[in-house]
Amino acid sequence: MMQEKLQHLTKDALNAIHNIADLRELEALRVQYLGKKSEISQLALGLKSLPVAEKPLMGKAINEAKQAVQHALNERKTTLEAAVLLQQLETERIDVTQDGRLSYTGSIHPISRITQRAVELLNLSGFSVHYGREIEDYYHNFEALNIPKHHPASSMHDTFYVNVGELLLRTQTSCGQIHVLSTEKPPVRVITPGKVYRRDLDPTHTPMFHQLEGLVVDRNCHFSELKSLLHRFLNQLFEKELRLRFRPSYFPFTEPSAEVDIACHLCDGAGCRLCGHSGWIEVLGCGMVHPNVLENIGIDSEEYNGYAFGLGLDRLAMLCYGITDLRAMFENDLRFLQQF
Amino acid sequence: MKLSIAWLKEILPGMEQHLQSHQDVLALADKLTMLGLEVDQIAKVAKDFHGVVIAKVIACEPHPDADRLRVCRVDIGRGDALQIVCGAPNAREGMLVALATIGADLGDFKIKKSKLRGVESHGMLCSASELGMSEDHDGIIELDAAAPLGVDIREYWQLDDECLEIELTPNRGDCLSLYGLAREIALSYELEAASLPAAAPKLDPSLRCPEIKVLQPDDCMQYHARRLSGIEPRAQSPMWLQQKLQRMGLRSIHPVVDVCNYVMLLMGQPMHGFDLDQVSGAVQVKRAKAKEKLVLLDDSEIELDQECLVIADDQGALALAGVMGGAASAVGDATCDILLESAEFNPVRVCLQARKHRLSTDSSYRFERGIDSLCVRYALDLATALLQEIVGGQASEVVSVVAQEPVAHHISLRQSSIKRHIGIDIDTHEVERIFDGLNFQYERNEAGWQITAPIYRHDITLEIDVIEELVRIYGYDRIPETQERIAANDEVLNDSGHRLYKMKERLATLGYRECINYSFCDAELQQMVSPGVEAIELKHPISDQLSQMRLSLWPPLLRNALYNQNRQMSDLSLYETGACYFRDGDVVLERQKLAMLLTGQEAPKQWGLAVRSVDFFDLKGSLSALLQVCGIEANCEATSHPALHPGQSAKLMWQGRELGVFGALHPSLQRQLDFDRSVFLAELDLEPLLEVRKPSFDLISKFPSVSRDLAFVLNENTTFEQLLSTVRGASGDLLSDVTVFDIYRGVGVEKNEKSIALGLTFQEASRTLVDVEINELIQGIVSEVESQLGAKLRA
Repeated sequence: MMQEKLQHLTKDALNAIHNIADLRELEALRVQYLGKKSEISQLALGLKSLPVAEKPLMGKAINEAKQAVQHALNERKTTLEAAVLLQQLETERIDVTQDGRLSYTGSIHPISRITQRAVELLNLSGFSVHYGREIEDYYHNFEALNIPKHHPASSMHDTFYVNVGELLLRTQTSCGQIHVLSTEKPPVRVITPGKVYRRDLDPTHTPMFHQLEGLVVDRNCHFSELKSLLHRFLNQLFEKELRLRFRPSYFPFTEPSAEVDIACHLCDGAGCRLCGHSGWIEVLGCGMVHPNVLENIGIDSEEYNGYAFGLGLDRLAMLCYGITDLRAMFENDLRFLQQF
Repeated sequence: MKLSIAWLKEILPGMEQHLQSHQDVLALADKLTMLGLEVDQIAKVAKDFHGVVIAKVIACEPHPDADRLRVCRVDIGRGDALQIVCGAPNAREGMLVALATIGADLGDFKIKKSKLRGVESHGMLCSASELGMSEDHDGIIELDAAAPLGVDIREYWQLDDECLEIELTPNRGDCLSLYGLAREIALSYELEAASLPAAAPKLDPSLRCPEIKVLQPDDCMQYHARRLSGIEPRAQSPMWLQQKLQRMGLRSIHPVVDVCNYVMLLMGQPMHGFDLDQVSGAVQVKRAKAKEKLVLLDDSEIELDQECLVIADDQGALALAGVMGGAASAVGDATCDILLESAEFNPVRVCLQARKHRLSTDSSYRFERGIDSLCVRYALDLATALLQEIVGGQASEVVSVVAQEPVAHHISLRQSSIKRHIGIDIDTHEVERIFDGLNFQYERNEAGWQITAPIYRHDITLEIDVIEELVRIYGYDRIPETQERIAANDEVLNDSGHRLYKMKERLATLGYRECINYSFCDAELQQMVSPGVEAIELKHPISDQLSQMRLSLWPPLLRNALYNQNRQMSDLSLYETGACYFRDGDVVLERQKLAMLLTGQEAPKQWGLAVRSVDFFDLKGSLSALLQVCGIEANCEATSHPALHPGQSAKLMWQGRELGVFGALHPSLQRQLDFDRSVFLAELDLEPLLEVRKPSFDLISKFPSVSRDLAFVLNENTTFEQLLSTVRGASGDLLSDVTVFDIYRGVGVEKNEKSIALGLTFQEASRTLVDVEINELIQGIVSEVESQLGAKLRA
C-alpha cells in the first residue's frame, strides 16, 4: 500500500513539476513534495512502523522517489531560469546607437599646444626657458640688439609705444637674449617663448602674435652646428624627415643671418596653394649672434660667440593644424576652439 | 624693388642667353632668393595675347544707330583701311591705337568679324586692361606718334617681359637700382659687370646757375645742381620711358619727373627738379625755422622745425631734403627753366624727418639705406643728357658742394674666423674669387686678408660682415650640418611652463576651453570691470577697441562670451592665461593671471538627463579641482568686487595668501553687456599656483573607519566654513573626513534657519575605534557646535 502511494505521489509530483511555469510556484511544489511536512516525508516517518524486512526496500524506494522529484525540480528550475534570463535579456535590450551621457569637454588653444611641443623638444636639447616681460624699454628691444634709432632696420617693425616713459611693447622675443645674457654668464642655452606686438592688422598679420626665441652662447659655436640643431628640431616638430632650405637674410642682431624654409608638406616641394607655388614654406629666422650684441652686454666676442633662432608660433600652429585663417586664432569662436 | 627682365637684358647683355624662357626667369628668381634678395613675386607684364598691331585712326564718325559707339577707319600700314566699331570715349581721329585684328587671341576670347548695331567691325581697339597690362579702364591705349604702323605691339613694347618683385632687406641699399641688382646677377652668373652709359650733356657755359650753399655739412655730404633752361614745356616722355616706369611701378608725370625717376631706378640716385621761376636767390641746404610750413608735392602741408633739413631759397623751404619736393616749386606744364638736383643726404637725418612726418618715398627709402656716393655727380649728367633729348634746352655747368668725401672701410679678415663662425674652411682661391666678384679690394697677409669694400656697400664695416658676404656667395646650402653639442641644463626641469600646461590639461578635462585674446582691450569695458584703476594706454592704438593694456582677463573673456552668444552658442566654459599690466607711477608691473568664465547649461541638452543652469558652486568646484593640480586646498571667504554680485563673490585664501576672486557677474553689468543669463567669473594670480609643490604621502590606515551622520539646525547667517571648523576643532585627529550631504530649509525648520546634514568619518591609523570613544566624540562635537554656534541637533 505504501509502495502504491509512493508511486502515486511521485507520478503526481513529476506531473505537477512538468506543468509548472513559474519559479515561485516551482519552489512551492518543492515544499509540497519534498518539504518536512510533505507526504513523501510523512512516508519516510512511517518507515519506523514497518517490519524490519521491508524497511530497506521501502527506504530505498522513498530515496529514489525523492531523488527523482529533486531531479525533476532541478531540471525544471534550470529550464525556467533560462527562460527567465532570456526574457530579461529581451526586455533589457537597448539602442546602442543612442548617444552616450554627454558633458562638455574642454580644449587647449593650438598656440599653447604648439608652444608646449616646441618647448618640450628644445628642453630635450638642453635649453632652459626664460619668460621675459612684454613691456620693454627702447634699449632692450632695439639698441642692445644692434638696431640704432634712426636706421631703417628699426622700421622693419612698427612699434606700439605705451604712455609710460619711453616704454614699448616688445616687437620680438629677442630682447629676452639681452636679459638672460646680462644675468647669466656663458655657456648659455635658453629659449624665450612669448607674446610680441607689432602695429599691423591685415589678413596675414595680427597686432599680437607669439614667438619662440632660442639662444646659444658658448665658445666655438658655428653656423654648421646651428643648421644641424634646427634640422633635427624641425624634423621632430613636424614628425617627419624634412627638406630644409637656408637662405641668406638680414636681422640686425645676427650675422650671418638666414631664413629657413621647409619643403611644403602638402605638395612636397612641387608647388601648391599652401606654399604660394614656391614649394617652400618659411618657418623661422636664425643666425650667428652679432658680435655687437655680445659686446653691448659686456661679453668678449673674441672669446665667445653664439647663435640664435626665432620661430613664429602662430604660423607654425597654422601649418601643423592646417588652419587657413590667421584671425580665427584670436576670435575665440567655440567652433574653432573645440577642434583642438 | 621691381626688376624688369627686358630692362635687365638691356643693361647686362650677357644675360640674354640665360633668359630665354620662363623657366630661365624662375631659375634667376631662385638664384636671387638664394643670394638673400628674396623674390616675392614673378608677374608677366601683359597677358598671353597675340594678333594686336599698331594702327592709326584716320576717321572717327558717330555710329548711325548707337549714341555710345563710334565707327572708326584705321590704317595698319598695309592694304585698305579697316572699319572698326569702338565704344571708347577717347577714340579720335589721328590717334595711334592697339588694334586686335580678326583672328587675334586675347586669352579669354578671339576676335571675329562681327556686326554691332548693324555696322560691320573688323577688329577691336584695345584698352590696357584688355591686354592684362593694368587695371585701368580709362579707354583705349594711345601710342606715341612715332609708333610704326602694322608692327605687333608685343614687339614694339617688349611685352614678352616679366617683372620680379624683390623684397630687399634694409642692409641692401646698394640693390635699390637696376645696376645694383645687375651687379649681383653678374656675380652669380659669372658675367662681366654692366658698364654705365656715357653721359654727355650739351653745355652752355654762359648759362648761370644759382649759387648753392650747404649750411649743414653734417646732414649733406654732397650737393650737385645745374640749370637747364629753355626746355619745351609741352614735350612728353617718349613711350619707351613711360613703359619702363610703368613696368617698375611708377606713373609717368612730366618729362623732368620721369627722367629723375628713371635715373633713380637705374642708378639708385634720387633726384629732384625745381621750377627755377619759383626759386629766388641762392639755393641753401639748411635746417628749417621752427613752425615753418611747407606744402609738399602731394598737397599735404607739414609743419617744420629746426630738426628738419630743407632745401630753401631766400623766401623759405622749397623741399624736405631727401624726402619730397614742395608743391610751389614743382615742375609743371608751364615750366621752361629748371634746377636739377643730385645730392647725398645723411641717412640718419632723412630717416628722422621721413618718420617724423610719417612719409616714406622712393627717395627717402634710398637715402635711408645709403646711396652710391661715387655716382651722385654722374647721375646729374646722365639725367641732363637724357632730358635734353626729350625736352631740349641749354645746360649750365654743374655747381657742386662736397662737404664730406666718401670714406672706404678697411677691414681685416682672419682666415681662422671663417672656420670659427661657419664651422668649415673655405679654400683661399675661392675666397678671393668671391672677393673679386664683390668688387672687394684685398691684400693677403699672415692672418688672412686686408680688405677694402666698395663705397656703395655701406653694410660692410666689420670682419663678421665680410664673413657673411663670403658665405652668402659661397652658398648656405654648401655648409654641412655638424651634430651640435647638447649641454646638460639643470634648470630645464624646473620650468613653470610645464606646470602651467598641466593646469591647462586639467581645465580641459573640466570642460574649459582656452582662449587667447589680444593684450589690449577697450577702455569702456575695462573701466566697467576695474573702475578707478589706471590702465596703461597705447599711444597709437589700432582702434579704440584695442587701446588699453588689460588690467584683468575678464573684459576679453566677456567679449568672447558675447561673441559666441551672438552666434547661438551660450553654454560656455572659457579660460585664458596671460599677463595683466599695471602701472605704479613710471613703473610697469606685469602679473600673470588665469581667468575662467562659466555660463549657460552645465551639460549639453540630451535624453535621460535634466540639464540645469550652472551656478556659483559649479565654478567653485572647478576651482578646487584645478587647484588640486597645484597641491593647493584653498578656503573661501565672502568678499566684494566691483564687477561681481555683492552676495555671490568670494576670495580664495590659502596659507594667508589671497589667490584670487570669483563669483557671479554683477547683475547690472550683466544687463549692460546684454547677457541673457548669469555669468560666473574667476581670476587667480598664477605665480603662487606655479610654485613647485609635490604631493606628500599619508599612510593609509589598515583599520576600519567609522561613519556617523549628524544634522544641525543653524541660523542662516552661520556659514559652512564656521560649522566645519567648529566640528573639526572638536574632533581632533580622529576625524578623517567630513562632507555635507544635505542642506534643508522648509517645513520643520524655522524661518531664518537651515538644517545642514554632515557625514563624519573617523579613523585611527594604528587601531580599530570602539563605539564608546566615537559616542564620546560625537557628544563633544554636538555640544561644541551647540554652544559655539547656537545650533541645535536635529532630531
